[in-house]
Amino acid sequence: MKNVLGNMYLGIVALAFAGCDTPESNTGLRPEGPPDVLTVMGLTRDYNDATGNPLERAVFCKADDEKVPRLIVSGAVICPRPGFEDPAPSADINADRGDVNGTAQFRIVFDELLNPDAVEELLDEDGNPGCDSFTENCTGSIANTNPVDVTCDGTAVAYDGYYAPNGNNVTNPPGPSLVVTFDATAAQAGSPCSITLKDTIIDKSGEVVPADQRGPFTFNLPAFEFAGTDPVGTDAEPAVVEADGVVAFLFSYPVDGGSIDAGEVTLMRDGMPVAGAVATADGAAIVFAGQDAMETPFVPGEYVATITAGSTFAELAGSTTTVDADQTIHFTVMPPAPFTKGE
Amino acid sequence: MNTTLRTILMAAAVSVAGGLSVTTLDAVAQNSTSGAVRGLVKDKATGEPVIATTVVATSAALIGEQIVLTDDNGQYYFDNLPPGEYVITVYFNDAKFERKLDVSVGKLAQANVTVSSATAGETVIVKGQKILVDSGSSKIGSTITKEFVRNIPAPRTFGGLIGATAGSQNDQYGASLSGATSAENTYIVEGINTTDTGFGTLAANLPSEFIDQTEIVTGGYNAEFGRATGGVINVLTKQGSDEFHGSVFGYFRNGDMAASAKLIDRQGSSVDRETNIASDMLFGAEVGGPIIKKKLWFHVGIAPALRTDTITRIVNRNVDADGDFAADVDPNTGFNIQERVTSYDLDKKNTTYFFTGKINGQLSPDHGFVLSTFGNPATGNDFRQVGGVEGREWKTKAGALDGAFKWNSKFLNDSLQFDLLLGYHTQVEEQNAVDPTMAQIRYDGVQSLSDFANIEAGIGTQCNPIVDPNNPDNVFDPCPVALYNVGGLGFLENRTNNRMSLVAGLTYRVKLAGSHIFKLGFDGEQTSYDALRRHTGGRTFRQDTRGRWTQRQFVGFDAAGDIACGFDGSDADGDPDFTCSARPGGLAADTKNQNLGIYLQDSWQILTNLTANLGVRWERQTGFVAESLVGQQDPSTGEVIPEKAYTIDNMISPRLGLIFDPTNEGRSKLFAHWGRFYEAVPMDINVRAFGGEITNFRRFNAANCDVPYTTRAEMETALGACFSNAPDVETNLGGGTEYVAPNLKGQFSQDIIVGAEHQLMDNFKVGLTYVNKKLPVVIEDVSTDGGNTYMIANPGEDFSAEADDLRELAAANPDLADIYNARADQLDAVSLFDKPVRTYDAIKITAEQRPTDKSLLLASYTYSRSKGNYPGLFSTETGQLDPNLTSMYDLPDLMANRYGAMGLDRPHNLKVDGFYMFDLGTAGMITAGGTVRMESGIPHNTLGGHAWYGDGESFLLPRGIAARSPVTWAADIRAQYGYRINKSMRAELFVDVYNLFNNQDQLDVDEVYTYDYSDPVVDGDMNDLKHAKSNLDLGLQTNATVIRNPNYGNLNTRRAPLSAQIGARFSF
Repeated sequence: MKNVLGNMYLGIVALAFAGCDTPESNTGLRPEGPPDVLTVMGLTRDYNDATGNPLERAVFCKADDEKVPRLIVSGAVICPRPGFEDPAPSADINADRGDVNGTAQFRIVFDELLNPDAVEELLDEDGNPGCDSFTENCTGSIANTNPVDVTCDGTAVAYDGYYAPNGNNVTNPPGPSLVVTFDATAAQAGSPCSITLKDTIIDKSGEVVPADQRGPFTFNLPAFEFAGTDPVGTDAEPAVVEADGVVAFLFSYPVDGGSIDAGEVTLMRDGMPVAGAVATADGAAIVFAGQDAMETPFVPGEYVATITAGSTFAELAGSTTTVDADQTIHFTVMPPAPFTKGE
Repeated sequence: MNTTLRTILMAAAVSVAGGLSVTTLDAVAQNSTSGAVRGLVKDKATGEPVIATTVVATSAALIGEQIVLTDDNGQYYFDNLPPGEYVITVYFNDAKFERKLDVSVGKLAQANVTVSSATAGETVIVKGQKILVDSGSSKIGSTITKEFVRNIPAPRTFGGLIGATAGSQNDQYGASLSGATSAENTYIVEGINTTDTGFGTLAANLPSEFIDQTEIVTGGYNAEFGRATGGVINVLTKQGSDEFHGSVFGYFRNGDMAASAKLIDRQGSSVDRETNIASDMLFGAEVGGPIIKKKLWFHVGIAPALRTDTITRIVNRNVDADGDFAADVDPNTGFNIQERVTSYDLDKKNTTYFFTGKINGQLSPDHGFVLSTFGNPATGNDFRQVGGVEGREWKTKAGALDGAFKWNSKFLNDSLQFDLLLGYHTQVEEQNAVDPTMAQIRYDGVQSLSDFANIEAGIGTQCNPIVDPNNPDNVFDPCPVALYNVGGLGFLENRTNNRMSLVAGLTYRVKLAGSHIFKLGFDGEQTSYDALRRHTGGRTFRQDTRGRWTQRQFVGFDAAGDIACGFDGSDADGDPDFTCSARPGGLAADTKNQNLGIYLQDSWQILTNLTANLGVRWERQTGFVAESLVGQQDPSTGEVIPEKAYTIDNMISPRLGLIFDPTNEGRSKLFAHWGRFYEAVPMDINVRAFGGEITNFRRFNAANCDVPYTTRAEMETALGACFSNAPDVETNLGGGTEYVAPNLKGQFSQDIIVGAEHQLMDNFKVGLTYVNKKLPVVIEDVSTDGGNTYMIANPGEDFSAEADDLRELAAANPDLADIYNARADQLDAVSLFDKPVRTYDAIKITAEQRPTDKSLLLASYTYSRSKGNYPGLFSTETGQLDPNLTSMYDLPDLMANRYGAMGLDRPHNLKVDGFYMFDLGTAGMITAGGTVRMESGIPHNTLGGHAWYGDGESFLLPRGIAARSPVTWAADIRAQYGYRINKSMRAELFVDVYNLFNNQDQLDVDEVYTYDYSDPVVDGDMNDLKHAKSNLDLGLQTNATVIRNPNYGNLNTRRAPLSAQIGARFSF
């Protein structure tokens, strides 16, 4: 009996110390091997969430890799997979990148953590390197680590950005990722651009991104084009604008004020040209702005602001766009409420 | 006719009249309110079993007596025995052979009797060890007896006694068993399930003075028991007897009987609090006795418990003695040096009225019943801690009321047994604001307390910021405060939860290749959860750390409503098609569930020392939608809302246990068990996912909503004015009812247990057990479309077949095609979630001495590891108790980094409980009792905020990567003096000292690394974390590193300091 019990006790102890492996995890990274580029995503001006924030869409997805991001964002998966084909990365999507403020942003998503110190500096509030985020508020920067090359029209473009170790293939945004930002107005609108990874991007074990995965990842900057009006006002339904309000013709890039011909951008009140009304460039818009109440140009009345068909405008880097048809904003400026006795 | 002769004749009559003793034998089954005894009768002279001899069981705990005959193997069996000390008498050759033994609830005791030639009429006392080993089952756990409660400095209620079991530990809501969360336990009192139907927690707690035995089963039980993926706590209250017995008792302690609590330093907040006991007493009486001797007994008890805590609310200010316009730091602690500005006391009171009542009746030797009732209604009050005076107090009502009726009959010469149990459980929990009209206004960010000078009485100008005259940008704020509340209490709930249960069983024993005890049973219950959930003032306002104001309010479907809600249906214009209206009075949801279970089990005694327990249990659970919603059109889908929210009917739980006794005397056993255990989904999910809950969320950017720092009323008016305008962001959280994945599987755990027990000497046994417990399938709400819609599913499981079916349905139903196709896509994506993992491996060494009046020892050491990604029915990190509806699986990204050492992983766990009584004869008795608890500290995490789910929801680094809390230990002692007034009357005075060595050990630390929103750094380390970036919102990442919480890693919970209580008991 003693033997039976003794063996039993030994067996129980052996069971207890039998190891168990870490289970496979969908949310895990893939630290084995060199860092793979899973996807490259860009901010788009035509793809926003419910609150109007621009969203990132894939311009490249690594083929036949189960780790590419599958998350559904605003109704669509980032990268396609069986049963989730919308939207697949395509040349059309690649053709229109950058946001309306002129800053282009691209996210290069890896399948494992990178050596953070090799790709990013942490800057303090004064922009000095060596910031310790355990005790200070820091921002990331890759301007000096230069982990990529960015070119537009064959010319190197200065960039910054940061490295985010956060995330995996199901987070929003996915990660870990290297985010590259640059001034899209530095090159002409519509220019072909590319991002190429350098061999200084290494994972935590020192392995570099395989040469065939470093790009170049190509895309085109957004075309310079007319993008609408703010407010929208038609002859039938004119917009109501405050006396000190602003009406704007919107473009996809900051407009070169020198390209505005006063004869082509006009403001009429009650059928007559408004004396002293001057259209000016304000970022990616051409605007007429009211001043203090009761002064020009927005005194009470019925207004029409117009860009005449055929007008041509330039963006800061030199490319131009021609407005094909008349663009108008009909708006009304109401008289101020009468003063009440005693006020 | 004397009793002996009558007994023998009765037994003979049974044998002859039945004619069945050879092929069918007495039914045997211990159950949740009784125990059983079996034994072998042998003739010493021949060594052969003694066949068809009479065996009688008697006890003060048993109405009348039980009589059986030995079978053709010489074995006898008694079942349905109330716990107590028994005498087994074997009649052989006109002599009596008596053997004593103890019967415990839920246990099978063995008492073999060897008979010999003896003088007619002689009574022979059979010597032998009282057997402690339960040779009839593979259950593991422990039993807490009256002796334990009377002599050991134990908690006052049975709920506190669960911690004495090997491997158990406290969690946020009770006692965790075998690595499961406490909400996974089932609490059975008087045979009926008293578990909270809403959240799975303990509801019907009772004072230990009312309890006869508490059986804590941590695993290895047969198909008779179900609906628990943790342990089963089986409680039997005291009962009457043929003599009157009872006690009067009292416990008292106050603030003077406790040592000072060490301060818990916190960085960054000037408002603090201390809670100290003002007085805490429990006193009561219980008495039991005969109504009709040998027929009808009663037992009643009542015990009010009154507790008052003094909450001292404190305002401190940071000191700047060196005038550098920065808070001075204590070099020893690293925390800011503070000084008291003002403080005042608040009294928090709670009164609970515990009671029990019980009647046991035996109508005939074969028919008996038990009728019992018990409860713990309570009233009290409480206060919000950080914030203004107005609207901070609320009144509470809570407690349970239970009734149970048990009937037991035996037929066919006791070979067939019928058990019926009817139960009713009701509980209430009400939170009523003293002033329900005020909306809560909460400031998440760090403010200066001087901002609230109109609200915060007593601070004067002491908290005013001090400006550097040489540099106006340099401002020293002496009184920073975070999470400051102005106005009402915010979310409150009143609920009533009921359960009606019917449990019936037929037990039958037959001989076939050994002997079998078959039991076929039905276990059904209908439960309900009626809730009223509301916000004081009808809504809450909150300013986040970025200055943005949000308003949350409950809304409900309303065709004439002014709030767009629901889904974008056939017009696909991007806007919701339905309307809701605000529900300032709250949302009412009356819901119910039906749980059915049928089981068949066989205890097959293959050999006298080899038993196989085989069982299978089938269960179905049906959850119903809130009554008020049924038949309406679901704004989330356009479908008509059905009556049933979900049905899980594929729950089949096989159980297999093997018990082998190498001694063949019941003194040892080798055992193994494998089983599957399905959860009964608590009904919180009915209310929250199928109760019409829609929260309208509106947000203004900081610049668009300006709220003055004036009075509460003016703040609320200003916020009301803001939110009467169109907000910057508006959305509705929740759709009223959630979609349930087709073929939803039940949540279950799976156990493997291997063990050995051996009785080394009389009254003392040791054991070694290995336990492997897994949780392979869970039920949770998930969103696979970024939080737009949620469904109830089994995360990580493959629902592609169900998705294909839906797509076919979509093709056949063009009107609902969009909905069906969207659901199909979501079902396909359920497999993207990590599969749930929770693996508990433990080896337990136990030593137990049978409790007697003189001594007791219960000791255990457990080495265990608990790893996984899913703690159970609540989040051990955030404390969110929403069973099967936690945020853990809501979005796939919330699961990252969650695999690791679980929040309840304590590798080493040592427990010793015991007492010894020194009998001084006529001078009385001195009893020394004590407990020792030593356990590893818990592992810690590094958490961040999530844009939608808030603080601590993002595992920035892998689970358990931060330093573990140190080993913690404590010792409690009791010194007791007893005096025997006469044979049956005794008076006792005692003093308990808790945490004798005043070890105010660290129990927990602040795990929030940052309150910023930030996604997990998967498999990262602290260097990676330095580069972690914050998100402005979901998907809106910035290049700014997260701001570290200054209290990250700092101690935030200590063991309570040394304290004492005094008590007295008079028993008769």
